[in-house]
Parts: sequence; structure tokens; C-alpha cells
Amino acid sequence: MTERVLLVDWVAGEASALLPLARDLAGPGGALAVLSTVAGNPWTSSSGIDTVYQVAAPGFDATRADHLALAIAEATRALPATLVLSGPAKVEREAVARAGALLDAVAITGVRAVRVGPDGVELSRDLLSGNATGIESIASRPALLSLSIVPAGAGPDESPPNATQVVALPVELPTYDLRRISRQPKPVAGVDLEAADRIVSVGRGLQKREDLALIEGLARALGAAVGCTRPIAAESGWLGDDHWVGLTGHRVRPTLYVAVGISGAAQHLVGMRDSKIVVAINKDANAPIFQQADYQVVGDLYAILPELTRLLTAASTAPS
Amino acid sequence: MSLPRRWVVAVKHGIDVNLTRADPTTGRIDLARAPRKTSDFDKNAVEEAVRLREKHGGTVTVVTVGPATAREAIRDALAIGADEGVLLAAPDGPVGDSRAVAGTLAAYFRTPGGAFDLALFGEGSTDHFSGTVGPRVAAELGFPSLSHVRQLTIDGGHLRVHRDIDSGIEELESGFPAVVTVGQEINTPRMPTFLSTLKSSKKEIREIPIDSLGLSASKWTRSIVIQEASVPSVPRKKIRVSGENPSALSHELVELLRREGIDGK
Repeated sequence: MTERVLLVDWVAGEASALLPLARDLAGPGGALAVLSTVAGNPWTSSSGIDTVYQVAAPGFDATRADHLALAIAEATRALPATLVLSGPAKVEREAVARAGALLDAVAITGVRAVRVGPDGVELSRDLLSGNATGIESIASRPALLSLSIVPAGAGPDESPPNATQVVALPVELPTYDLRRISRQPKPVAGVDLEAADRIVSVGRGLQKREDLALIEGLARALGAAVGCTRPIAAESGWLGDDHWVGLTGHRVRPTLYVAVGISGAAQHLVGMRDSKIVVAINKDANAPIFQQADYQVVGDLYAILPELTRLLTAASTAPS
Repeated sequence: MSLPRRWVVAVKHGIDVNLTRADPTTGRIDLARAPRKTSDFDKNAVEEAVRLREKHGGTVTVVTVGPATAREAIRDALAIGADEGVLLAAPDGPVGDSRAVAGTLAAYFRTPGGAFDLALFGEGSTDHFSGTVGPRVAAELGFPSLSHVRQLTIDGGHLRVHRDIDSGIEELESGFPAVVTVGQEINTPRMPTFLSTLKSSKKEIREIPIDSLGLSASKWTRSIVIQEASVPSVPRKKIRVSGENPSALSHELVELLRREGIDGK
């Protein structure tokens, strides 16, 4: 079975990162198109893309999920697409959901992987707040998918340039009363956990806010970013949302993840499960986090962190 | 323009994540038999609606789609303070997917008794967390959707919200009717007391069979088929770091990390 795939280019470069996957899904004889919502058009005569839909509607605002949804629905009808692939941003997820309703089609978010299996397109996604992975198949088309992870960077483009057709896409915008008053970057920005190669994360094992110095000290010694669980960010407010790892926080995939005083609730585990090496430091030997750890340190963080920080700092400053 | 008074909250009787166990040998989870409870973020939506009623008056109606057992989710919402419940009664058998549930809710909201000024949803369910049902309902009805709302006020017949958009916070203003989805940051749902639970047991739950809503049969048919649910197995070394005291434990850990190519910086 071949698929007719529509890629949503919502942030610059997203569609090119999804291109290899889209090609696989389309297969020989399928179709590949891009819905371009970013300024300029980097898609002309490249990458084996047959069609580029460029939204032609005065007042179109791609940062509005309802506008984006109408464009996705129009482009899906125009191709016509059997599969729509978009990225993980909240606006994209909402747009995919709205477009699904406009098309009476399925819309699935949080998709970790898509492949063509014996029964057609199969996807895997988190279930049960990250406690489980579900393998799902889609029994109807079109199907709209929002991926939870967009592969980093695009591979070399090996497909021969072909004549890409650029099509203007008229979109009829909604008339109801909805206005943006302001948009502000999140406070205490500056941490990009998704991009961090090492993360030291802290949970409820920390007794008071001032003790964050211990965590920051270890993070400095490792050259790591500081992460945390929901209670530390949303409940006590000791760290901002940009540090929050978990189901409704950030999904991270560092080389090293050090979980300090974190018991390992399912909603946290889903955020750090893709880490390469996991170290857990917790005084409760039965804490669930240990089942997700490569190195388990059973002990009091207040006794271990100063010593660990000292050793790591000494090792890096000692003459070799 | 009349002031908004009809508050509706859609809740899900979802899978109880903390009570669900996988088969120890296969790692598989039997979703059809998993224990169920009210989805967590839906309680934030109920709490927010009850606060709106306390401030602006009106009625909080809580609605769910499911078999008779889904009444439990309505009872939970009534105990928090919702005024009345509606069960859109589905036949036994496989539960609807997000497309089916959103379509059913939208069909109910189109009926004269189902009209609302503001519909509130949790931003995702504890079990599937697709976050699609609220926006889908809004799109089907041609209403604006304001998702991931962290703060909500009503002023002069307008809805004002702060919503999370990954990179920042957006402030939006909208007219009514509208649909919002809320996260757990918006409030802390009150704990039902013995008295509120007792009082809520007298509140009415209307039952409306979904086939009386004029839905086509294909609407209820699942398009998303869950082939398998299992506990993800990320292979972990699970090495217990040895050491008599914090110093020894730290030395051993530093050595183990060094072998992984990780040093201090």
C-alpha cells in the first residue's frame, strides 16, 4: 500500500527533518507534499517533493491553531493526502486535532514512531502517562499524526531534484471573536533541556529551596543542566517550568541523566526514558526510579552530593 | 450580549494508571480489563467550572460518554460541586476513540439541552493523553478552542486566558461560546467532603443513549486500533553501586561513570 503524505512545515526545518520518514511511508508510487507556512519557500525543485502548498489567505496566522487547522484540512483535501505528519508543538497538536474534526478523520498526537507494517501503517505512542507503550494501527484514511519527537537535523538529500509544483492554497478564515492580546516568553528562560547532553534532576527528596545549591553544584561539576520533577516546578515553584521533566513538562534525551531524590512517578519517567545513561540517587532502596537506572546509588543525597561534586571537580582540575 | 451562565465540563472515566499492572511474563497490559477512574486533569476542569459558577452564577453540567460504569466520573464531578450530570450512554463493547467521543459530544452539544457558553476539558487524559477531544469538539461546532489554559477570567462578556504555548505564555481573548482545555497548574481541585458527597448523590444524572443523537454508525466505529499495550522496556544495567559510606559510594560512581566516558567538566 502506498501513502500520499503531506508534511506540515510549521517551524523552519521541521519538514526537512521529517522528510526521510515521509519518503519511507509514501513508498514508490506514493505522493509527497509539503504545506508551507513559513516565510519564503525552500522547497522548490528539491527532495522529491511533488507539490508545495503555499497558504494564500490575507490575515492567515500560522501561530493560530485554528488557522493552521484550516490550512491542513484544505491541503489534505487538495492532494488528497492519506497521511499528514506534523511536529510536537502544542499549536501543531491542537491544529491536527481541529483538522481531524474538519475532515472527520483520526488525529493522533504523541506519536513516537511510525512504520509501514504488514497491516498498513503502524505507530507507537505512550499510553497510561508513559507507563506503557501502545502499538496502534490506523484503520481509516486520512490519518493525521503529530509526532512527539522530530528527528534532529535532516540527512543528506540524495533524491534527484524534480519539478516541484507550487500551488497557492486558499483558506477561508474563521469569523468568530478570538484575539491575541500578548505573547510573552516564559520567565527564567535560558535552559534548553531538550538540547542538554547532561542533566542533573531533582525531586521531592530535596527538603528546602536553599538546598538547590547542592544540585547546582553537582550540575556545574558535570557541565550539566538542572532539571526537576513536577512538585519542584509546579507545586513548590523552586524552579521554573523550563526545568520540568515529565509528561506535561519536557521530554529529554541526554547522554547522562542523574536523578537525585526522585522516586520515579510514571509522569516523570516518561520525560526521561530516552536518556542514554541514568544514575539514580535515593535513600529508599525500593524507589521505582531504580528500575529505570543504570547505576543505583542508595543513600542520602545530603551526604553523597557534596562528596560526589568534590570528586568530579577535583578530577577535572587535577593535572593529567 | 447576555452574560455566560452555562458551564459544561466533559470528563473521562479513563484507565487508572496507578492500579494497572502488566502481565509479569509478557509485559502486556490488558486495557479492556484495566481498572478505571476519573482522569486527573478533568478534575481541574470541574474545579474551574465550579469557581466560575461561584463567581458568575449559572449551572455546571458535567457530561461523559461511556457505559453505565462511567457514571463514577460524573459522581466525582458532582462531589466537587457540579450541579447536574449527563451520561451519553454507549453500548457495551469497545470504547470509542477520540474521533468517536468528540463526535458524540459535539452531537449532544448541538441538541437544545446541550447548548453551552463555555465548555471545559482536561488538557489530556491520564491514559491516552492525546489532548485532541476538546479542540475537535470546538472545530466540529465552529467555536474557538483555547488549549493548555493556565489562568482564566471572565470580564464584560469576554473570556480572557493565559495559555502555555511551549516557548511562552499567550494571553488570548475570546467571545462565547468557546472551548478551553486546562492543565493542572490552573488550580488545585477541592477534596470532596463527606457532606458534599452525600449531597451530590441526590443530584440528577440524565442518561441519553448515543444512538438517539443521530450519529452515523461509522462514527462510533474505532479507526484507531490498539494492537498491543506493553510496559516499555528500556534496557537498563541496574547496577547497585557499592560502598560502605557516602565517600566510598561516590568514588565508585565516579569510577563507573569514567568507564562510560563521563568525567567532570
